[in-house]
Amino acid sequence: MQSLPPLPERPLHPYELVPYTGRKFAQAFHIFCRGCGYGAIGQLLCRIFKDDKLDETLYPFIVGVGCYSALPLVLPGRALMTPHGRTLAVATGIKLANPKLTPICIAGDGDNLAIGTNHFVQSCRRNIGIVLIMLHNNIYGMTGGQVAPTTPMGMRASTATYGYLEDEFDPVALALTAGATYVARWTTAHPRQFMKSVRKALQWKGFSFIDMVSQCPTYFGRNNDMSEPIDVFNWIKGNTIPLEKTKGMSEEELKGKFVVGEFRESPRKELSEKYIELIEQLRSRSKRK
Amino acid sequence: MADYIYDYDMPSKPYVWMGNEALVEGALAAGCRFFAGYPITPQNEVPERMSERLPKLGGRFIQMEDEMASISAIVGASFAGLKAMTSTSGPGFSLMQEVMSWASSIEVPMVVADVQRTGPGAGIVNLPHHSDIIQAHYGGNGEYPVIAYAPSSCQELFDYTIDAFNDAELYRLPVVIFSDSLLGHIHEKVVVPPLEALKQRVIPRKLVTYEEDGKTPLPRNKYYTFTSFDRKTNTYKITIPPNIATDYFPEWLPAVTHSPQSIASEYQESAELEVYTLNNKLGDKVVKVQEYFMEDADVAIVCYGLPFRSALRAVKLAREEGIKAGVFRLVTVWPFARKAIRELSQKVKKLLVPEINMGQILIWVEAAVEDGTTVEGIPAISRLHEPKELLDKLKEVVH
Amino acid sequence: MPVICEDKEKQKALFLQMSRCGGCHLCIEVCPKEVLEKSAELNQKVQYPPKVKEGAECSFCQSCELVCPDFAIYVLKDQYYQELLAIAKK
Repeated sequence: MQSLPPLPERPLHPYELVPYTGRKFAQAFHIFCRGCGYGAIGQLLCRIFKDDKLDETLYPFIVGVGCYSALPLVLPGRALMTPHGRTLAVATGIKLANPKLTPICIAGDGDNLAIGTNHFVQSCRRNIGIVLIMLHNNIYGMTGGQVAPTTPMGMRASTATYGYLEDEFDPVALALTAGATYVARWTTAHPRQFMKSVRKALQWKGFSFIDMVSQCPTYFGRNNDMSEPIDVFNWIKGNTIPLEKTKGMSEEELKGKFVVGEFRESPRKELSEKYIELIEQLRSRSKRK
Repeated sequence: MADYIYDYDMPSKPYVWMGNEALVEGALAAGCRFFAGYPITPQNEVPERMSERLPKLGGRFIQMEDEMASISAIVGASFAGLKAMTSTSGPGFSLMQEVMSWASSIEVPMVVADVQRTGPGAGIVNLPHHSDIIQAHYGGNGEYPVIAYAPSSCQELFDYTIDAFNDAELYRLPVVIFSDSLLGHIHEKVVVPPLEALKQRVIPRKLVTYEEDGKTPLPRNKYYTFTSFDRKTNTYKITIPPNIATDYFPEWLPAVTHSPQSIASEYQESAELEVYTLNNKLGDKVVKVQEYFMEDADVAIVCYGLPFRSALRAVKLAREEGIKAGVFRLVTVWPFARKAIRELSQKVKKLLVPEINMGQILIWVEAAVEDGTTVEGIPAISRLHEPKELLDKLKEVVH
Repeated sequence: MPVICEDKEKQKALFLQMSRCGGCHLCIEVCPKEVLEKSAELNQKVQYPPKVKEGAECSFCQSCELVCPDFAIYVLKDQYYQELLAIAKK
């Protein structure tokens, strides 16, 4: 049995106890690296569930494959782990079968933008009532630091020792073109705005996409002379521009920057709602016969 | 169990249906209320008819963006409480293998229909070829069991689909139905039994499990998410599948190797336990065979699927000419009827195995028989064997 | 005991769990009033947790709490202040 970390000193804040009702381990711990943004993201999601007293059965987490696969250790409610890239497809099945649930998909940038791009684009188009929180750390962390579709050109990674030759792309632009109804991007330096976005997304009727940029000091940082968590954090913060300030800025100025804010918030009718209406319509038609 | 609402709506009488339509109606009669599919010839009639029939019955239909999304969606739907099904053909079935392996490991009840067509590659879409028999069992990574039915007529497509859904509920694994482009497109008479008889036959999806007395609901801490081996009774206890909206669902259902209580593990002992549990949980009652004219047979034709019809005709013609021939039919191709074939080979020393492929079950039959038995395969690529061809072969083997 | 900054009038306190701190120093970076700095003692995870500078006044804005990956530094206020501070002080 692996040895557990030493017992914390008193007091235990009640937020720490939120994910552990019913779990096997009696103390809060996670297996992320020091300085990893995922620990903070797990904490923020726990806060939302505890402060708003949400019913955990209505919001199942569907977790993909990546460093965040261990996030269910610190998440409230229940979590289902799927194969690489298929979180949105499984969540589509769950949502259509039981429209009262709102699955929260947690996918990484490799999971969502490499192997799962097809499901991502189709879910945006279909407007199915799923919340997708994409954890964007510009690298494939779990497998040892390989390049991801979002790694900036010129940065080094374990499969790009001489600098990455390919250009990155912007998942928010892809979501907007595919027709997603609520699109937002925040970073770990904007925790309060992120929580507000998630609260909005949980009640949103339609597909909501939140891109959460976070720091990976162990692989992205160390390969690019940013070994301390503070360095990667400041790099992200330095490259962040709020959406309101980008008016009038040219494309070259915006290249390589993280534009944060809520990009679109225009509701459309949700797919499972339309399907239930169709069923009701057919039933009433057959009754009238 | 018999007081659930059964809402199948086809009146009981004979119909004239295409094979693909009989497959759809069988699934709906068995309680399937979720279908996710992708178009591929020769099974396009299946999603088309499902999209028309399912909303009327309160079910859900969705056409997904590829086969991997289709089979992932039915895993999700099965966890949300609906009986779910997908259908595809050879090239799509190859794409689904990763998720078949995952679904077997997390013990999800679901049905996958494979309407096979000629391969390899894109092949010819409208000619039959049973090329996916071995792939259904060994296609995905890891070692997992699968139950596979091989019907040979439209009525059997209706009946065996109901059996497939029942097996999926009882044993909690993906069940494959083998059809092919020929069987999927012929029109035949299908008789739908009365609704009361169907209701008694179908095993419904259960939400709550009970303790041994059958009355008090089982508390959460006594419920095992996956199959476990009970040392006291030496049997495998297969529990009801967990529903994601109820309390039975574990806090973390991992896709990696796990214990019966859904705790992920990295130890060799738990990998051994999981692989053995998965592969041994099926037992003996799953294998189904049928025997015709076998009481005093000298030569037997071992077959499955469409060649069964040619074989039965050939054996009837042979009996008229005095040749003592019989038909040993495999209703379920997987799990393979190893014990039954071995017992057969102790009485009958000459076996013929006609298949619409190069001989995939032939190898298994050869491995299962006792010494001294001659086994001969009769391959036919992309065509159905003719009864005269099998009759000539019977005569050749006997003399 | 790791209660590192207390304000009895506003009924709030800043609390640091020494054994859980991973030593990433993000809280030091994020604090708008620059109240924290690196300490020189190692904790059980062989890292340097933060400590409050001499004479610094924490405004209890919770920025450090929301960015900490280990939930090691947090603000005790409202009902938690009374119950948990008593346990912490023991």
